[in-house]
Amino acid sequence: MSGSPRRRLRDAEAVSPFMVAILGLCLTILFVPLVIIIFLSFNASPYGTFPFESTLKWYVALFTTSNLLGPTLLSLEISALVALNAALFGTMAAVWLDRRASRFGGGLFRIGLLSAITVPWLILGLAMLLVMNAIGLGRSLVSIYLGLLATTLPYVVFIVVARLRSLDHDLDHAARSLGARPFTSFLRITAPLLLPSIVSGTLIAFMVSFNNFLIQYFLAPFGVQTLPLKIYTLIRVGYLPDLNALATIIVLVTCLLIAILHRLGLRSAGLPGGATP
Amino acid sequence: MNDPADGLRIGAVRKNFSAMEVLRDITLHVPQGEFHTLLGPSGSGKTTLLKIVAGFTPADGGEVALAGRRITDEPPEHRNIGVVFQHYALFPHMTVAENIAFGLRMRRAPKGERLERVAEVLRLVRMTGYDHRRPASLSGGQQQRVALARALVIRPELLLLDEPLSALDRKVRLEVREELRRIQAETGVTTVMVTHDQEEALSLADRVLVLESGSVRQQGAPADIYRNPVDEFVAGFLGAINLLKVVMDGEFLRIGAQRLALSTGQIGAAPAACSGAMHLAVRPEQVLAELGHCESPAGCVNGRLIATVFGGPIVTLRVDVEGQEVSVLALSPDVLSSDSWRPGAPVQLRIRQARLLPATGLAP
Repeated sequence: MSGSPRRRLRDAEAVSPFMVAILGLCLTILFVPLVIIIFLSFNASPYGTFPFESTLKWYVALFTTSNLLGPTLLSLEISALVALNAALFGTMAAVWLDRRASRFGGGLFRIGLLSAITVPWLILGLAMLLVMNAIGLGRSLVSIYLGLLATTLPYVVFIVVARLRSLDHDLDHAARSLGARPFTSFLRITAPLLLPSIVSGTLIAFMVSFNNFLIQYFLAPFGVQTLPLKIYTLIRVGYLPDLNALATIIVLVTCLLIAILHRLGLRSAGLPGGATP
Repeated sequence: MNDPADGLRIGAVRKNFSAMEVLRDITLHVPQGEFHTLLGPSGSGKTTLLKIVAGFTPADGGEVALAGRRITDEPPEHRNIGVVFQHYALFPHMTVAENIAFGLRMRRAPKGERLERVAEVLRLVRMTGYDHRRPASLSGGQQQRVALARALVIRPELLLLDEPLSALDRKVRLEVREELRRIQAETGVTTVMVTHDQEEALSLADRVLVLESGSVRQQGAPADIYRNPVDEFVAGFLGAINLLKVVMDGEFLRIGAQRLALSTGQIGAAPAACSGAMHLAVRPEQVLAELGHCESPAGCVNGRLIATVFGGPIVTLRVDVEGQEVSVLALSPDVLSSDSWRPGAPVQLRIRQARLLPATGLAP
């Protein structure tokens, strides 16, 4: 082996057994609970005990006797509204940021958006509650809407801006010189080319909004329960496997969304994990 | 020709980017149907001027008029100007036919007319049959033809070309260049092209306008500018040129110890400020080289051959004249048929045509 070149750390081959082990551990920690929940949702025992006896009764219970459906629908409605509005305002903000913003104004806006991602939601939620109280909204559905919108907007803006950056500005110039007004040019040329990244941003905004326990916890009016809040309550008092059934459905829907995101080419949106074009 | 309704008129256009003066009082007139070129190095402001004419960038002062209509403050969509971009800027989500029809759609042309005019302009750029292809499946040359078709189909009053050939390979570039010339002649559309390539400018345009640091250095017919550059910058930018330090000595020019007699027909009128340091600007192809000596003072100077550089049909001779190096072009057979063209051989140079320019040191 005297003549062989020394292996360096940056050679993927040299570190691969270690990396594979860590990766395996992470994926195990991530997926084993999911598999267990899916498994238990088909188990007849209400306490997760064996022997395994397959049943669909928890799925039936979920749609009949359980009180999970109301919070789920509320969460879906709020998240859909927030995601669609984040898509609209986020795209507008992205276009402004890319085409019109001054260096100072754009930079300030960027920092604001980044802080909505980087500042812990615990602190953000608390701060929002203080502000909502101060302006008289208090804990309300409007407050939840505003809070979730603020936390999801950055995802849309950053994904759409990344795509806008890669678009040739001469496309807009060409359309204008051919007789298109600015709005027509945006609608006919820019928007179709942005569409994959707008959809990506909307789906991510939906998931972030759906998951955001902290913001919902701080801003939900008393008595109104979104799904994360409902689950939080149930875990403290003990729950039936109908929750497992709901979790299974959510996992499947999420997988579907991820497949859609993948098809839209997240790579072109500047995020890791996208399909290679 | 002096009808103000004629072609494109630019009057005293100025532009600053923060503290930088990008364009300084640019005035020019492109008569109806002519092909003009804005030639300059990068940073000379030529693309900015094009963008001001197209309406993509506002001017800080001055006027732009097209066919007698003042368009200075008009948005691009009201100017009726076709623009071809360096990187084609075809709409990637539309087919070739949809790209070309876009301008007609914006003008609300009925479908029948749209189809007819798209087919007609595709014939013009020799791209018939590519209607349903996507831009990404076309070569660079084909994309630029489609871009040209898209700009022409709206029957613009002015065609702007922004470095249209510089993204293409050399062979395709020559091909598209010839197409450009043919199409411009066929349509008779008033055309302004921006380029940094002097060969492109000289071969295509009726008139060339040389820009440098935001000012017009010279404008005129290509051959005229090439032969009679007003200063060293223009002389050097339009092609290889020898700048020989000379001193006025009565009716002669002195190069080192040698005296050279040139008629005014050969060097034109001497510039007004001919008292200071002067350069004799001579194109390499305007010098005839022969082996041997000539008697001074005469229409020729003596030098020694430094080297010959073979370049296919032509050979570049590097000749030392009184410590200054002169490049001379000669036809290969004339030089290679003889063994006498060796380094150190005495050479006499006969200058056919030259210009006297004030020595400014501005040559690019």
